[in-house]
Parts: sequence; C-alpha cells; structure tokens
Amino acid sequence: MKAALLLVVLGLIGPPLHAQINEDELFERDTIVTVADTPSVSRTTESTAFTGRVWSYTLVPISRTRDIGDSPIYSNNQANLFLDTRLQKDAKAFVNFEVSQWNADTASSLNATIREAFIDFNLDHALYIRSGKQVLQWGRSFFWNPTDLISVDRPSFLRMDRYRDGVVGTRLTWPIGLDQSITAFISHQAANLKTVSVALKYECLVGNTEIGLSTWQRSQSVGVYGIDASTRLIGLDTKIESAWSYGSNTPKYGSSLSPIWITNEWVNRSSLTLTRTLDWELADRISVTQEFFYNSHGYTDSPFASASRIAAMQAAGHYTPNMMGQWYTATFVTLNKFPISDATLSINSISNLTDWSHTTGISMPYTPIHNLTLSFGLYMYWGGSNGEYTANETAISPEFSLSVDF
Amino acid sequence: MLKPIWMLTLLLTFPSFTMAQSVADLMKRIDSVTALNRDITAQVELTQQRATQGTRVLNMVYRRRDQDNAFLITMIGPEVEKGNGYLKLGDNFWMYRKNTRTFQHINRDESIAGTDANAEDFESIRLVERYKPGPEPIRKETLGKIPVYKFEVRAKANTVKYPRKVYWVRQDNGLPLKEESYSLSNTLMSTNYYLSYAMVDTQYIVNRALFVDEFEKGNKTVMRLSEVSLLPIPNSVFTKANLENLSK
Repeated sequence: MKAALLLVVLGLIGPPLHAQINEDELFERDTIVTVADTPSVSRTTESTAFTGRVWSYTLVPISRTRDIGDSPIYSNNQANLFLDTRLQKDAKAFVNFEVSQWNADTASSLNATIREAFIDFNLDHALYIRSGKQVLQWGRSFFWNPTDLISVDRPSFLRMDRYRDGVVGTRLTWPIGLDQSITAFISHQAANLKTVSVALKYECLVGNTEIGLSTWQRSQSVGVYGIDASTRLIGLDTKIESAWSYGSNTPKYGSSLSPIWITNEWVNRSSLTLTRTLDWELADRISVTQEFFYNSHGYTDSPFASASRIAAMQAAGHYTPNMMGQWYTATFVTLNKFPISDATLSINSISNLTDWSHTTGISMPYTPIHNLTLSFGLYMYWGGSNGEYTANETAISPEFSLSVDF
Repeated sequence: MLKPIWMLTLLLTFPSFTMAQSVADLMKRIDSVTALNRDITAQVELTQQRATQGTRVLNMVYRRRDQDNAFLITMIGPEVEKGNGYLKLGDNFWMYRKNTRTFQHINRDESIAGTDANAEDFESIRLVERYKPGPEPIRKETLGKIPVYKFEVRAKANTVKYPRKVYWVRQDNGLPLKEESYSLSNTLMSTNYYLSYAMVDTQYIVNRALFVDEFEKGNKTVMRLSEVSLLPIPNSVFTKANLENLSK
C-alpha cells in the first residue's frame, strides 16, 4: 500500500522537476469524494528514539593590536545526543547529552554535560508536570527576558541556536480553558529548603493579545514582579516585558570592588520587541526584529575598563553579559532564500548604549541537502574603547561552521 | 422606450455589478461547505520536493475545530522535525521550536516546516471574512472533465499573505479545485490543486492536495490526509501546555 502511495505521490510531483503540471491528468476523473473514515480512538504508542546533532565551528579572533598572522584559531567540535522515550498518555522522558571538544593552539579540552534531563507527564490534561533539568521559556521577548529569573543560562547573541543549560526544578502548568493558564516553577537548585525559589505566572489571551503576570520569590531575596504581553500593533508584532523589585538581587561594584546592594528603591528591567516582516519578491521574505532593553540598576560608567572589577563580579556570580549597562538595543534581520533559495542571510547587531560599544554579525547558513547546514559568518566588535563589546581587543572574527542533524 | 435601452447599457457597461453578487454567493458557498461542524483529527503526510535538495517526507498529527477557529499540528516525523508544532486559536498563532523550547506568538501566515503548505491551508477558508469579489466576471471552464466556475477575489485587508487570488470551483457543489495566489506586483506565487475531498457530514475537508511554488520552479508539496477521526477533541488539546507536552 505504501509503495503504491509513493508511486502516486511521485507521479504527482516528479520527475522532471520543471515540467508543467498536466491539469487534465490531475482532474481526468471526477474529484474523488469519499466518506470520512469511521471514528477511531487515537492511541499514543510507546517508543524510544535517538536523534541528535553534530556540529563543528572554527573561528579566528583577529585583534586590534596584534599582527593578523598571530591570530589564534579556535575550533569547537560538538555532538548532542537526544534520548526521547514515550509512554502511554503522552508521558515522556527526555535527555540532551552533550560532548564538546575545544581546540585552541595546541591545547584542547573535552567536556561532557547533560543539558537537559526531565520527565514530563500530565494528569488527564488538567495538570502538566515536568520535573528535572529543563530549559524553559519564562519571558516573551526575543533576546532579553527581564522577567526570567529562573534560567541559569541566557541566550547567547553569537549562538542563538545553541542548546542552553537547563535549570533543575519542577514545573506545573494548569490550563484553564483555552485562553488562560497558571504555571508554577519550583527550583531545586538551592543550598537548602530555605533558599528554594518559586516562580508563578498567570497567562491569558484577550483577543490577539497574550498577557502574563508573574512573580519570583525566594527567602532572603528581594521578590520580583513582572508583566509581559504579546500583540500586534500597527502591523508590528509587539512584545513588552517588565520586571520590578524593591531593591536589587544583584549588587553593583564600584572601584573599591566591594558589592553595593540597592535596598530602598525600585529597580526595573524592561524590554520592548518589535518585529516586522516585509515582502520582497516573496511574501514575508525579510524579517526585522528590533529589541530594546532598559536596566534602571545598570552601570552608567563602563566597568569593563577595569579587568579587576569584572573579575570580582564574575567570581561572585554577579556578572550577567548583555545586561550590565543601562540601555541596550539589538537588531535581528533575516533575509530568507537569499542569495539562493537554500541560503539565508542574517545580520544581527547588539549595542550597549551606555558605553557605545557594539557587536555586529553577518552570517549565511546554507542548506544544500536536508539536515546539513554550512554557515559562514563574520563578527565585528566596534565602538567606544573599553566597552562591553570592545574590552577584549578582538576587532573582527570570521567563523565557519558545519552541522548535521539526524 | 429609452428605459430598457438605459438598463441594457448599464448592464453591458458594468457587467461586474451583477457578477460581483454572484462571486459573493460563490464565496459564501465555499465557506459553508468547507467549514466543519465537528472536530477532526487526522494524520497528515507532506511530501516536499525541492529542486536542489531533493525529496523529503514529513508526518504530523493534525487536529482541528472550526467553531473555535483552532487547530493543532504536532510534527511526528522525520525525527529531526519531531517535536516542532503549531497552534492556532482565533487570530493567534504560535510556532513551537523544540531546539530553543520557545513559543513564537505571531500574527501572520507561516510555512509549515518550510514546505509550500502554509498555516492557512490547515484552517477553514473564511473567504468572505478575508476577501471581496474581484472585478473580473465569473467564467465557466473545465478542469479535466469537471465543469468549474473561475473567479477572482481581492483581499479586504493587508493581513492576508496574498492580496489577489483566482479560484476554480466545482459548479455542482462549490468545492475549490484550484487556487492561484498573486503578490502585490501581480506575480503568480503559488498554485494549489485540491485533488480530492473527504465528506464530513455535509461539509468537506481536503484530503489530497498539491501545492506548487511558482516562484521557485520545481518546488512542490503534496499533502495527504489519512486516519481521519471525528471523535470530539478535549479542550485541553488546543493549549500551549499540551503542545509542549507533546513535543520533545
């Protein structure tokens, strides 16, 4: 039966690839109108599947000050193996196991980690439970998520498609009808019961607007309250996200390298995302996303001028890239099927508007056959000296990557 | 004596005035025969042929409820696509990407798994809501041996993907058999052939279709529905929580 079907399908679609469709042949018989099959009970079948991705990328950071010939070559070879096992009633277990090898000069390092490992099930579709190490989307914005205090691994601007490290905890989701839901996340990554954090979120749909109200709480920490929304305004996909707390959970570091905690004023982090698609020969061929981020608690000077200041922040776990300054903006432009149908041109740029430093990347993933992607990229770091994106002296970094999905 | 001449002149000068009403009737008829009164669950197979990349087959589970203007698509094959999904509820559309575990809430039509089939191909047509009759008069033609009406529609607002479409619909039951979609510059972008329908009570659902990419010659997608079930679908199915539960 399947062979016959394949023959019918191939007869409809090929070869030759560019032959005109013969409509007389397509409709030589009367349109087949058949009675729908008798109702059947759908069953989830138990299964176990292994899939994954193998990828390799090489980059050459070229310094502003050193001779180009002295530029090091870094390469990363990585494999992600996914185990997906399904039981009855949509219960499942999932593991993302990652092995990566870094090479720099003559040195190399091998790392193995479990990015995610969780069990997911539901109680009669009234309550969904996912427990284990998991990546979850808590905010709504494209890059910055001010309301997300749960995730331990933020998106990387240079590797938006990389697999992030999950956070260990239990997530409960209670859908209420079609247009509301309540989600709770209890983090298990705590020293003891007293330091367990809990996040709650209520979401609802009003017309074409999705709204969320959230809170994050932990004993001996400042509670954070958030609101986010996603809608369409004057032709733009619009997302806003805002988080408020009375005091800050992250101190600032002055020149004395001692942490300074804010305790008696409101701290706000907000983002605004605008996305527009444009037609060019094809509908929605060009996609432009512009995102803005504001951190009322951000540095108004540039801490990156002081390596010791940054080191103190990092040692204490108080350094979060792309959020240290007060104002940021990022642009993501995608041109599909350009310059050829199997390629995409991406131009992304991020700017710290406080120290006026920028990272701009141009990349072109090309998929000559299904599941194989080649990508060429060029990343530039420019703007004010000793800024967030210029402090490490790399001026430009060409990159080449290959990946296979299986 | 002059009155009939004036009327005849009016009709000859503005034939589209009377034809527009008939196109509107055809549009209403299409909407009424293709809007389903029952829930439907089916397996969908999309066979995509691309001129440069070859052929690939995608499988998905498709659930639809027209009363809520809702559908849910969960990719079940091949393994690299398994876990991605699409949820439509009213005017809201979410794409779920398993790699990043994110929902994208968008308000535009989107290609399904990069094929020539779009989200709007999986929901009720709602022609009257989105389009208005075009200026061209209805023509009687045949597709193969099937008598059809050919007519044109124009978008009412710029929220649809293609501002101009031309339809060929069966004269006997109003089912669309062929649809051409044109861009703003009047370039033919795609041609859809609806090759067979399955009857659900007194309505119909396409169970075999051919989507032809007219912009990139050689690209086509064949859609086939099978294992159709009419069992009521629980409300909980059309939720983001359920889509994420079904994914990887």
